[in-house]
Amino acid sequence: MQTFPCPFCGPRDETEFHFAVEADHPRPENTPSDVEWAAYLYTVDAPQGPAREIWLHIPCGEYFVMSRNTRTRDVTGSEALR
Amino acid sequence: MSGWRHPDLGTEIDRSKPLTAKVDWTKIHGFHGDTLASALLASGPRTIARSFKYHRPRGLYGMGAEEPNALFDITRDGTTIPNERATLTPLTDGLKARAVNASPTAERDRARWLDLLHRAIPAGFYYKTFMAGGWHLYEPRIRAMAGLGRLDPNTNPPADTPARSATCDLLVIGAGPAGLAAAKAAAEQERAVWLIEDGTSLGGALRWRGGEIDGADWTDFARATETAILNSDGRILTNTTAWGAFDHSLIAAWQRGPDHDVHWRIRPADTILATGAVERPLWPAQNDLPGVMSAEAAHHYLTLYGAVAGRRILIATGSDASYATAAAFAATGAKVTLADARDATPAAPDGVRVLSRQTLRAVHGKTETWGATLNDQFHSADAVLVSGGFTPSVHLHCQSGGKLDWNAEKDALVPRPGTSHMKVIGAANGTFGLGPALAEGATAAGGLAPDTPDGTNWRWHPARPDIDASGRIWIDLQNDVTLKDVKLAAREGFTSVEHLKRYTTLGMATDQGRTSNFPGLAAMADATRRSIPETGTTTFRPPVRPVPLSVIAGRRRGDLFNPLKRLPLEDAHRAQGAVFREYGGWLRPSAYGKDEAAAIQAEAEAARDTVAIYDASPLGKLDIIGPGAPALLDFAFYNRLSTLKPGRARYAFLLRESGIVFDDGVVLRPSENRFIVSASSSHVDAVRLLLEDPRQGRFDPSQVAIHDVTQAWTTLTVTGPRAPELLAAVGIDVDLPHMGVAETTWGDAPLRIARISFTGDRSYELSVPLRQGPTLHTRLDVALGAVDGRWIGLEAVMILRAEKGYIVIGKDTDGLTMPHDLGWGGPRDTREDEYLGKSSLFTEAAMAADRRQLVGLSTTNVVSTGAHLVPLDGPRRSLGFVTSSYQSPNLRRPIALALLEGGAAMQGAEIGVFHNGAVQRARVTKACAFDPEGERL
Amino acid sequence: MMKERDWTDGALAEDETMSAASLAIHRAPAAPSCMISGDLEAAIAALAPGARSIGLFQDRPPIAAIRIARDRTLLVGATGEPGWQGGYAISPATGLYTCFQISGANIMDALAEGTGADLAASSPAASLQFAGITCLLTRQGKMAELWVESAMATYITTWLAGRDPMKRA
Repeated sequence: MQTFPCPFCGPRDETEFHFAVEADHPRPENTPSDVEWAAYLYTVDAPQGPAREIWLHIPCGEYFVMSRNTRTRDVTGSEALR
Repeated sequence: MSGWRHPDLGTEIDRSKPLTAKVDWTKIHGFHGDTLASALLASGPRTIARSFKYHRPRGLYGMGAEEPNALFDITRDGTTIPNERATLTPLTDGLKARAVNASPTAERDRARWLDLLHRAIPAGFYYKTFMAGGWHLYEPRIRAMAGLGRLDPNTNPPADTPARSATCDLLVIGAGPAGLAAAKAAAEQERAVWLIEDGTSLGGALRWRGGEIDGADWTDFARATETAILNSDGRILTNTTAWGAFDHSLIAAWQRGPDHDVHWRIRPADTILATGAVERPLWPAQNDLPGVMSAEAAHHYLTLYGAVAGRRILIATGSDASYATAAAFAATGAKVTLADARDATPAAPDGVRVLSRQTLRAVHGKTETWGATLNDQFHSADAVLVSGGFTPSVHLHCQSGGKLDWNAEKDALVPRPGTSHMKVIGAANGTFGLGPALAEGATAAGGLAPDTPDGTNWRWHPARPDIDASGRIWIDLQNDVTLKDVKLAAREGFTSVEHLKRYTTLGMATDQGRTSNFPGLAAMADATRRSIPETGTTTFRPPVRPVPLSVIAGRRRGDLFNPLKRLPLEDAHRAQGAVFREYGGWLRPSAYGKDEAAAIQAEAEAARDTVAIYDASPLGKLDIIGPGAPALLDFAFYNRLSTLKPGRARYAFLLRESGIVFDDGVVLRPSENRFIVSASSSHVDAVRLLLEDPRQGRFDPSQVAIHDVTQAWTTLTVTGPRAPELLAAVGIDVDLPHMGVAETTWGDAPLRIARISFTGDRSYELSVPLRQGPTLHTRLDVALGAVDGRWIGLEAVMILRAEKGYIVIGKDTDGLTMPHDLGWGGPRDTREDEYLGKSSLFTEAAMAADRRQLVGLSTTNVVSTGAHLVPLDGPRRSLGFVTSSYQSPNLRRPIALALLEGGAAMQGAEIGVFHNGAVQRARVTKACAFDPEGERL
Repeated sequence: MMKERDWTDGALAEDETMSAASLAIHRAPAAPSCMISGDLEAAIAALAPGARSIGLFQDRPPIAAIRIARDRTLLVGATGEPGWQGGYAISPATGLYTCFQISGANIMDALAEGTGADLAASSPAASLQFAGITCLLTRQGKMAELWVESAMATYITTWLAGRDPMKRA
């Protein structure tokens, strides 16, 4: 079991968290083309190595950006959305 | 019958407490402190097991988790656990042990004839032979003849092992000399040290080998370690197996307690692994005979339990380690011969005949050992103790990603430093002998090496299976894999160790190849003319040794498995005869009355005729408060909510970005800056978190708040034509329009009334703070009799809403349903602004005419929910399926809802309902079957 | 098989205690409380002047703001009218959480069986997953206080009662 850092609550067990989405994929607005929209919905990078992901800390309800290495499982950072 | 109990020896046993156990048909006697294995050894019977494939007689070989033979189904206190290793099973009074894979007993096994066929059934025999018609035809019989223990289907072990989390500065796994030295050094630096030991007490091999540390007996050193650990806020866990290394340094450990077990999840800052090593066997012909034992194990049984392996002992070795063993046996009066493979041998201990340059070629006997051939000469012996060197136990290092390097000097694969988060010390690191192990342990924890007279690393002559040797030579005793099988695998191209393992089963099952992986690897290397590092090793995975599933599952069973939310008024409903079922994570009344089916129909009828009340407390109550609330809800919901007037309510959908309907519910607006989202009772948390996402990521969170106060309120819904009458009787004023909301008081308590209907009749949701719930319940109940009403359960509510064509998300919708499929195309056609899922509603697929759309069905019988809809003519294919189906007591006919391809345009058409091979006719109707004009609302 | 129909409501009642040799569980009566969000300082100043904001496993005075999230807290010992109050939001929440007070020598083991969170790490939020459900954890002196949503009172009673038969009083 991994330990993840909530930017507000601090380190907690992995079971308190939920993966939301990959970070840095902004929502296309104002009638995007089907291709743009489908890319937003379904295309993921799923990098092996450094990744930036949005996670949810379930007990406090905070969504945040976590930087981690998907290969080594090292967590390198966690930042609030704003 | 060669094992015997020494009259004096045995540090672990208490001779004042005799115990009796039953093994197969035989009673055996032992003492408190014995293991089943030590008691068996001391009692003499040699054939205690039958081998996996050939049903060969087998005896005790080892002393711990490496034991390949002595597996039993153990029954104690009425609970049977299969495949327990006798070496790890404490002897208890009345314990019953049944040899696995033998019938009726290990000694008289009926299937022993199988061994005569051994030439015909090499590795891969079953795969290659039983092909015609399919393996499944043969599998049951073959499985009955092979395999290990049997599960007792009546065994229901208690779910009482708690999982407990812990942290510490340093975790030391293994309390042999290296582990003790490391733990002591760290504890003396005030670090909180946890020391975990698999065995019953500290010391490792010191317990049977003894030793002098810092000028005193080793037990002083162990006691000093204990004191240092306890003084620095540490903890010592014996009888505890660290069975798995997981992410971010987590170690799972199974502690076996006298009363109950504990499953530890330890997250240390640093970890030191000192799990020791396992002795390698030797590979003469017939090396599987009962009476052939690991020399180290025999030494251990002798000292700890006074259980002596024989009277004429032959020790075959190439290792310094065996000399102390020989001396210990000689001291019992046994006749001891030590056959060393090396030219130059250490000095012979007193009473031991030492022979040099000896190779053990064969062991002789049928079901007992009576001698062995060394070089070309026969030697009489009733026990052959073997030592082919040692294999470091590196499981946890490798589980956490660590790599191994071949070290020819140590004759072992040893951990590569820095490849896991652990430091590996002592025999687990290929550092053998008391002095070197102590020094390495102390240094690893930043301490100074303790002083000891035994300063040398053990050396041994590297022993390998001789692939040209004749006779039957076992590599893996547990899986009956012979040297011939390994050579066959090499010939057939299964030369990778992973392939070797799968083809021959070498290294599988409870011992996980502790005694067989190394010789298997060495033999394969030899057969393919490669070096050991070129041949590679197999992967180490948790658990290190078998752990009962009841330990891993912990306490989450029965009503702790998937806990249900409970109504505050549950007792009151039970008192009225309610029966309960689970609905979306809540335990709720399904109906009131013993005959549930009849009660459901009567309740649904009463709700239309007079008045009914149901407990709607689980309905979500998400307070959305603040000036930013309208904008947040407009974005999050499919329906516009900013235009809702205070004091009113609106039915609305919540979509995923994929355009799929995620939830529906009524949104109330009690005041300008405050909304209440009545999320479906099963979806409250999910809806809250779905709303939190745009609140935090898109809007200014300081301007809008989301409070889930669902469980602070009791909600009772009063529905039916006589509802206003009932409410008047309890003093509740209901001057409200349809979809109107009022916040008022009742007595001195707050009361929220919402005139919202899920039944199609005039309905009032009454919400009061939790504390007032029982009063409201009682007052309504008293008044209910006068208007001939009744309490109704969820099943009746389901019928009422289905009569009206009102949907339940996830039941009448699936993972493809969009709001316009349900007849709610309005917002999609008119809204210009952004909202969740918007762009998904305009794709080609979303606009297709043949989408599955919600319809009603008129049928002669109640159809099955889930039944497929099919065309009446032409090729049969699924056009959709029935989502809800009931007998309607009010319409006096069956009703059903369905999702049907192009259903919106098929009103009045006839289609088929396919179920269990039969097709029945149905007419497509509107979803709403009752009061389509809504006059009763 | 799930036999939920046979389950009976075994939740500890308010002000009831159950105890074994080294653990006692008491369900505290519900105190007036409300949930507040937004400008927490202003809200506390208005509703319960001087109330302290407390995080995970921190000592709770009778009137306190138990922090749930970055901008949300459960104010215990005071409540207010629902709605927006120029900078902060209030929802009355008396009874939303029910407080199980745990005392005795085995407290730390009992807590470690429900959560892996480091209780000494002074996390600013009292919310955590305990025994698989979202709860708040505070303490009063040596007594631990587990706040669970009221519908989970039965579950948490069963969980805390554990393996050992506990006597109720």
